[in-house]
Amino acid sequence: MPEKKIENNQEKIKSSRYNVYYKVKGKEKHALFNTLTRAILSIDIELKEVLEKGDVNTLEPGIKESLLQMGAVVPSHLDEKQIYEFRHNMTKYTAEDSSFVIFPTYDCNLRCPYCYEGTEKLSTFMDSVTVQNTIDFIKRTTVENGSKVVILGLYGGEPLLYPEICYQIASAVKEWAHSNNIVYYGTLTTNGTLLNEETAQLVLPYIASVHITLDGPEDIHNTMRVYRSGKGSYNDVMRAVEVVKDMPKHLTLRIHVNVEDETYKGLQVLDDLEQRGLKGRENLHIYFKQLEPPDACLSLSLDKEYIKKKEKGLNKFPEVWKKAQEMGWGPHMSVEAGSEHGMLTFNIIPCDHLKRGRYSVDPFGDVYLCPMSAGRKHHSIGTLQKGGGLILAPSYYTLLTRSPAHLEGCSECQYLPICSGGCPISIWEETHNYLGSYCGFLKQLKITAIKSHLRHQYPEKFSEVI
Amino acid sequence: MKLTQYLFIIPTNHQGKYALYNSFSNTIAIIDEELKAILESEDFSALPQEHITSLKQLEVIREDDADELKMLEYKKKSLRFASDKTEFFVIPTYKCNLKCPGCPPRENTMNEDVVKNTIEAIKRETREKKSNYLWLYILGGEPLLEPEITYKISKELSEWAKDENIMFYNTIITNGTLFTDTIIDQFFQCITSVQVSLEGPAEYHNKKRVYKNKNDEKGRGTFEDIVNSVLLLKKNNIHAIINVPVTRENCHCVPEFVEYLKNKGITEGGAIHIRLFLSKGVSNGVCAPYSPLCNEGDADAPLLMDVWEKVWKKGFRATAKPTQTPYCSGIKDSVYAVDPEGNVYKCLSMVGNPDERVAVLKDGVISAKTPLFYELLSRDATRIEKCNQCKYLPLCAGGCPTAAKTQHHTYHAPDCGQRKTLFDKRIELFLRFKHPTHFGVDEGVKTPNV
Repeated sequence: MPEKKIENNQEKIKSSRYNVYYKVKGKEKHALFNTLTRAILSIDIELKEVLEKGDVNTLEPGIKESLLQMGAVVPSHLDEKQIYEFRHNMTKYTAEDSSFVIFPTYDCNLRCPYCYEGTEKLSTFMDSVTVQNTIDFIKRTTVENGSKVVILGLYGGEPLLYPEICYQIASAVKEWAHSNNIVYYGTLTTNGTLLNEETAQLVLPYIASVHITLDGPEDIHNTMRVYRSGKGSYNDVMRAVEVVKDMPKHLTLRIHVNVEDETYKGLQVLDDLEQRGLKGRENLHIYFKQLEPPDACLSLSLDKEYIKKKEKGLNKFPEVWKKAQEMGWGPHMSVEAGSEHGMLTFNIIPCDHLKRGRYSVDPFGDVYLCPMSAGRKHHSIGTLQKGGGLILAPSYYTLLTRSPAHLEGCSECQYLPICSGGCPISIWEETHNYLGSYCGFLKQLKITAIKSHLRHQYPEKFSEVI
Repeated sequence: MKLTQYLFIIPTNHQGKYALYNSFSNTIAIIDEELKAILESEDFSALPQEHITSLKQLEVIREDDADELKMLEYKKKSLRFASDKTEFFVIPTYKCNLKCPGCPPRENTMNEDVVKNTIEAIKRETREKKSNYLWLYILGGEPLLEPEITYKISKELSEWAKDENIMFYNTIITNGTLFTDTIIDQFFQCITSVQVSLEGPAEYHNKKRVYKNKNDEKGRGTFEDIVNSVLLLKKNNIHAIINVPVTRENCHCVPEFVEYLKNKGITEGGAIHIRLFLSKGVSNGVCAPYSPLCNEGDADAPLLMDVWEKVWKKGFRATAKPTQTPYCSGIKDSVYAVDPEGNVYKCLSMVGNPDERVAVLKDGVISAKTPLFYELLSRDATRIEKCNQCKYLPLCAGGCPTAAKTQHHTYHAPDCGQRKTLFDKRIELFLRFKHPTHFGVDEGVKTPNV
C-alpha cells in the first residue's frame, strides 16, 4: 500500500515526478503507474492531461485526496527524490542480517550446456586455511555489522562435491551463532545429485532450507541437466527431493519452463512431484524461471536474442503461474499469479546482493558482493586474510556509495525507483565504469514487466494496455 | 601510495617529535622529524616495508586508487542507517515544578492513548529494525511529575525487551528534585541511568533553577535537593550524569564547581560522571542536555575551550578523545523524539514546533512522514562543497543541520563556526592525556571522569 503522505489536503500539491502512463487500446483510458509508490490507477484522458500539464490544485477535493493517498500527486514542497534516496540508503546500508554465499568449489559433476562456469577453475576447492579464514570472516563480519541474523548459503559449482567443507563451515558458524545469541539460517543450493542419506546426515543438520533446480519433466530434464557422460540426472535429483521430503526443512524447487513452448510442457514435472507426495507438503516452495545461464544478468544484458526471450518470458510467465495454480499448486507458490515476475522489482536497490552485509566467498578466498560475479577477479572486493580479515578494495566503496539519485541520466528518470540505476557490475561489463549511467535494455524490460503486470493482474481494465 | 587527506601533524614538547592524528581512523602515532619529512613529501620509497605496513594499518597512507571520500561516505552512512540500535526520546509531560529563566511554561501531558501508542511504536520500530539494542530516554518538562506514566513506559518496555532478548538501556533525564527512596525502589529494576542538571555552584545555580509552585518554596533554589538526589543515586549504585551547561554567564565558576563536586566525593567510585556542554538555554520547554555536536559551531564555543583547559588543570580530563561523531539524531535513522501530543520529531530542539515534526503516532505506528523527514535524512556532508575536502569532516560530519539551515537557509550546507578550533583543542587535550611525556606536565590527570 502506498504510504500515507499528508493529512491536510488544503496545502498546495503537484503531480508526482514518478507517474508513468500507458494507453489502453480501444478505450479512452490510460493506466497510471507510480514507480515510487507502485500505485496503479485507471484514469481518463482529461485527468491524464491535468496530471501531465495542468494545475492539479484545481481538481475536486475528493479526487485530490485519492491521488494524494496513491502518491500520484504530492505536496508541492515535497522532493520525492529524497524519499527514493532515503529508502534506497536505508535498504543498502542497513545490515540487519549478514549473508555469506560460500563456494566450496566452482566444480560441478554436471555439464549443463547453459551453465556459466568455465572449466579453468573447476579443479579448485577450498583448502583448509581458506575454510578457517572463511569461518573467521563470517564471525567477525557479522559482529562488526551488528547483525542479529547470520545467513550462510552453500553454493557453487556443486557444494556437495565437498560435503566435509560444507559441514566444517556450517557447523562452526551455527555453533558460534547459537552461543552468541545470533539467529543462524543455513541454506544449501544443490543440483541434488549428491544429496543422499550420507551427505544429508552430515550437512543437513546445519541447513534450514534446500534449493534444487528441475529443468522440467524427466525427458526434458535429462537432455539439459546431464552428467559428464551425457547421462541425465532426473532420477538422482528426485531421490534428493525424496530425501528432503520427510525432513522438517524448507524445500524450494526452481522449475525451468520454456515459454517458447505454448503447451508449457515443463509444468508436467508437477504431476511427478504430486505422485511422489510433494503436493501439500509443509514448507515446499516452487517457482518458475526461464532456462538461462545463472549469470545471464551480467553476461547477456546486451544480447538482443536474450532480451527478446526475456521480454517474451515477462509476458508469458503469468500464464505459467496461473496454470500451476489451476493444477492446485497455488499454496506452494511464493507469489500470486500476475505479480510474480522478478523484473517488476519491489526492491529499491538494483539487486539484493549490492548492499552492506552481503558477501560471496570463492574457493580462493576471494570475496565478491554478487555471487554471479564470483570468479571474475576484477569484481572482487578483496581477499580473505588470516584470521578472517578483509581489506576492502576501492571498488567496494565505489559500488556501495553509488547513488542513482545523483547519477546523470538516472536522477531525472521516471523509472529510477524501480530500476535504481541498474546493476553496476553489468554496467561495468559494458563501460568499465561502475558509476556509468547505462540503460541498455533495462528500461525496455521494466516497461514490459509493468505492462505484463497490469494485463494479468487487472485484465478487466488493462488487458489491452499498450 | 598517497598520504591520507585526514592527517594532522602536531608538534610535541620534544624537539623533533610530532604526533600524527588521523581523524578518519581516530588513531595517534608519535613520529620523528625524518618520518615527518617523508610523509610530507609523499615519497615513501625510502621507507622499509614494515613501516609502510604500520602506516597502512594506521590508515596514514593509502593506495593510490583509494577514494577516501567514498570510504567516509560509506562509513558515515553505515552509522546513520545502522539498525542495530533504536533510540527514542519520550516526553511524557511538559509540566515542571521549576521555573527557570527562558524556559516557557508548558503543561501538556500524554493521555492514555498517546502512552499506549508510544509504547507500541517503540516496540514496533525496534522489532522491525531487528535492533539488538533499545535506548530509551525519558525527559520533560519533569518526567517524575508523572511518575506513573514514566514508570509504565519504563517497566513495559523493560519487560518486553527482556522477552525479546533485546538489550535495554533506560535513562531518565530529570531536574533531580523529586528523587526519594520510594521512587528509587519503584524504578530500580527498569532504569539504567539518570541525568540531572546543575548550573554551577549553589549560589549561581539557585538563581537559575528555582521552584515555582508551592507557596512556601516558590523561588527557592534547588541546588541542595539535587545534590542530595545525586548522593541518593550514588548510595543505590545507580549510574548518573551531572549535566553542567557552560554559558557566557557561568563559565568563570564552572571549574571551581567541578572541583567542589570532586571534593564532596560525588565523583569517587565511578558511578557519577560530570558532563560539560555548551548551552544556549532551553527555549522550547524540553529540558535536555545538548550533545557535544549541537552547539560547538556557536560563536561562544571558545568559552567551553577555556573551561576545558581550567578543569584540566584541576586534575580532570575535561574532554574525551575526539570521536567520529555519528551523524546527529536529526539525520540518523532509528532515532525519534515523541512529545506529549504524539508528534514525532528528529531533534529535541525541534520538539514543540509542529511545523518541524517529521511524523505523528497513529495506532502504534510512526505515520504520515512529512517532507522534512526526507529532507533531513538526505543531508550528506560528503556532498557539501565546503565540507567534502575538509580534514575535520570525519569528526563533525558537517555540524548541526538546524544551525546550517539558520545560517544558509538550507540543511544541505555546513555548520562550521568554531568547530575546527574546538576539535583542535580536543585533540590537544587528548594527546596531553595519552602522551603526557610529549605534551607537557599533567601529573594531576588521574581521573578521566568529566
